[in-house]
Amino acid sequence: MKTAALLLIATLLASASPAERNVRDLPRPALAWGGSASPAQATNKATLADASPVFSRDVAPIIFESCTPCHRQGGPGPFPLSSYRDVRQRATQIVQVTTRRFMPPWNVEPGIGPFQGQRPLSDAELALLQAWVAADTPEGNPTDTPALPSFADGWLLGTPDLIVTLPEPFVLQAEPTDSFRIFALPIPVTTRTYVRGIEFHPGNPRVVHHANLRIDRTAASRQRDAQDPLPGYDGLMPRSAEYPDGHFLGWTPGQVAPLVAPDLAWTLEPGSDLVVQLHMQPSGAVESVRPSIGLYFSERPPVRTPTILRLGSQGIDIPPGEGRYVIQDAYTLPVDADLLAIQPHAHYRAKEIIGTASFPDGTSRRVMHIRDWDFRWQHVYRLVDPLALPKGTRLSMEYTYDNSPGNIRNPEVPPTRVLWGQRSKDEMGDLWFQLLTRSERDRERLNGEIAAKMTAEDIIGYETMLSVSPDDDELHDDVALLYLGSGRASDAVRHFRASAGLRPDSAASRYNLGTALAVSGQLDEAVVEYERAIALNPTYAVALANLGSVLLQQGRTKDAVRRLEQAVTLAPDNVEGLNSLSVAYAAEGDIEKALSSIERALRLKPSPAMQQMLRQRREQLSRR
Amino acid sequence: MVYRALASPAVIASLLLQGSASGSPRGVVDLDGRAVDPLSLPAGVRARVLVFTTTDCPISNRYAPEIKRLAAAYRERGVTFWLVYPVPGDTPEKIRAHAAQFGYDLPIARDTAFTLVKHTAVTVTPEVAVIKAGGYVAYRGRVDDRYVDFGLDRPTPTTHDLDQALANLLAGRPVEPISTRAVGCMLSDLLK
Repeated sequence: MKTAALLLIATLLASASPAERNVRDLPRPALAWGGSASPAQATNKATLADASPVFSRDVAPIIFESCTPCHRQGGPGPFPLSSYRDVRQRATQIVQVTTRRFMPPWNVEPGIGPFQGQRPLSDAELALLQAWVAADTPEGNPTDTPALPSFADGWLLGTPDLIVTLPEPFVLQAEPTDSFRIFALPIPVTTRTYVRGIEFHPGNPRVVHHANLRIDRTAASRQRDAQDPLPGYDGLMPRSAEYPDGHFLGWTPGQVAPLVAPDLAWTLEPGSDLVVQLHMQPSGAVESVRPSIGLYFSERPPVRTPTILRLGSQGIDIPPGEGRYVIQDAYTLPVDADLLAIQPHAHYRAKEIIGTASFPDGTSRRVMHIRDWDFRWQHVYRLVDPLALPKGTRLSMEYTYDNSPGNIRNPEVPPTRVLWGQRSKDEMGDLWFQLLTRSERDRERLNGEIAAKMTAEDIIGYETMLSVSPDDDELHDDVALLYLGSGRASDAVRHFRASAGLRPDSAASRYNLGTALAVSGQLDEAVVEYERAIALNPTYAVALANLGSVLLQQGRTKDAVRRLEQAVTLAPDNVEGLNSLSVAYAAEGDIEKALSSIERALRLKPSPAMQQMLRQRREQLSRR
Repeated sequence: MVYRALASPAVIASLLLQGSASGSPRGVVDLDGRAVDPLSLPAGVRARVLVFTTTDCPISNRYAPEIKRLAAAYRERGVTFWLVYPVPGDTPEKIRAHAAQFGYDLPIARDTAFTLVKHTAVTVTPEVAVIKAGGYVAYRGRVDDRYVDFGLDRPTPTTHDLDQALANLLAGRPVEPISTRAVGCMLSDLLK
């Protein structure tokens, strides 16, 4: 049986570069691997054996540190690497995958970071593994083998304060390749709660490859989930599913984000859902998937809140065959901030990912660099030490895409034109920065600026998607709302009109269109649309209230009174409706009814500003 | 006894001769420990596909649906597929559970002495060998080109090498290529 082993060595040496070939002749101290024996022991060993590395003394410390945390019984790795026998049986493969740097999974170029949970092997460690295999994987003295680290099973961050589990397992089919599913999990808290962190348990590590987590304070995710009879749903997360208070949430195998300091916790409102998007790789068998998420709470409200800046382009439009398509984006910080974490995101055609911080003093630093982007490893990269970014620092990104047939990962063969979109067959290019400002005032300033920047980019993304799917009414609605929020009412009108055309029987579409028309000052047309909404749904209280307000603006006070009365009869707690009604009554000369509407509105305890306005008007009317 | 990777029919013939001395290839058994001979084709079987696999190789397991599809497609055409488990740690009990989990309904051989591994010169799992009459290896290598390397795979394969080899063989055309490089979990370390 020795023959086969010798042949193997010959193959390895023949394929190794000249530098690698000399590895075995390197003086021992040049090989800097972790957990080495004491100098006395090392000397002793050196006299007993030749300079070839052995498992017990040399290889085991590397494997136990860098591989075994995942490759162990019950871990996310597909097989254990916990003993000499385990490792010897896979030795050639270990050399192969580590040399290619497929394992440990760490795609960031050397010199970037350092990041938490980083487990790359040094060149010296790789050389040592190669030399060990070339020497036919000797065990050495078994008593030198370090104790296997104890890997806490269960909850690595401690017992969670709350565990949320998918109520019913999702059944994943045996194929094809990457599979995605979104689940909305209600979080059963009854009061406002502060969260220091979460720990994600995939439930089936064999197939769950990574998880995107968001918090949705609205019912939008829940509604999409409910529409699919099976657990979860296919498609996209709604816009309302967000990173909470500037905190990244996510999971990749082998990574557990540590708890944040209590003063940085994020706020969890009752009624929120945890939205979990699972990226799964089918195993070849039908699998049951049931993730659990542990939440860790903080006793007190946070005093500092990070901000997430997203750079990127949503106008991506790559011609088929294009081997080098580049997008760029940049933003200059208006305030001082610390960079806490970075998350790149792109799909199958992205190749190179670069993020740079250019400082006001003229120096610059790469904060992210991945040469061979792999869609399957979507880490959140948390810096070991926050990086100070003085005011005036320019953060920039540059991503390069390969839409040629030479890109093995290209989902389209032959390649087709690819546009921005959230489905994995589309393409994206985002670089997210988690920033912590020095003061709340700075944070508000930063948030305001970047919200406008990101909304403008989101609008480009929607317009890109609509160029492909012009008949998607939800896309029209979403982008119309963004336009409305950015003060571009006429663009909102255009999209709400398209949406209403696609859903002629929808009262809500007519209402949306009416509202956008009213905001853009086209009152006659707004009245027509509100009338249509009410014809479709005669008890549509907000439509009646808005119609009343528009009629009031037009001076049609009698009509306004009639519509507003209907509105507040249907929805007696509509403060704005009652306020408008009081104005309409006053215009009609009915002071008594006007005052009575104001009293009703005040009893509803509206916002302080509204209360003040109502009281002022009550005073004015009383003087009449 | 050391078998080399086989290059010529002459070597194969000598191997078979040795195999036949004991009745079947050395150490090749079914899940009940009975000697079996996947290399000799009974009447009516035009070719046999040996699918080398293990219970814990993720790439190998992901091929289960494709293997089952091909096995079903070629069953009527006189081709039988066998699963071959060469890893000693894959006990009959583990193998039964594995086959059930992945829905395999194929004959199974254990090859912990690596007799079939060496005869066919496979190096990884999943890797397939097409055995034709006389025990000759007509094709050895990958099922298709979905996997290019670890961590690098195509969403859909662009060549279907095993399917093509079988189609050529059954049609009496030359099988080309006769071997391809399979990507998967390496068997070489188990040879020691």
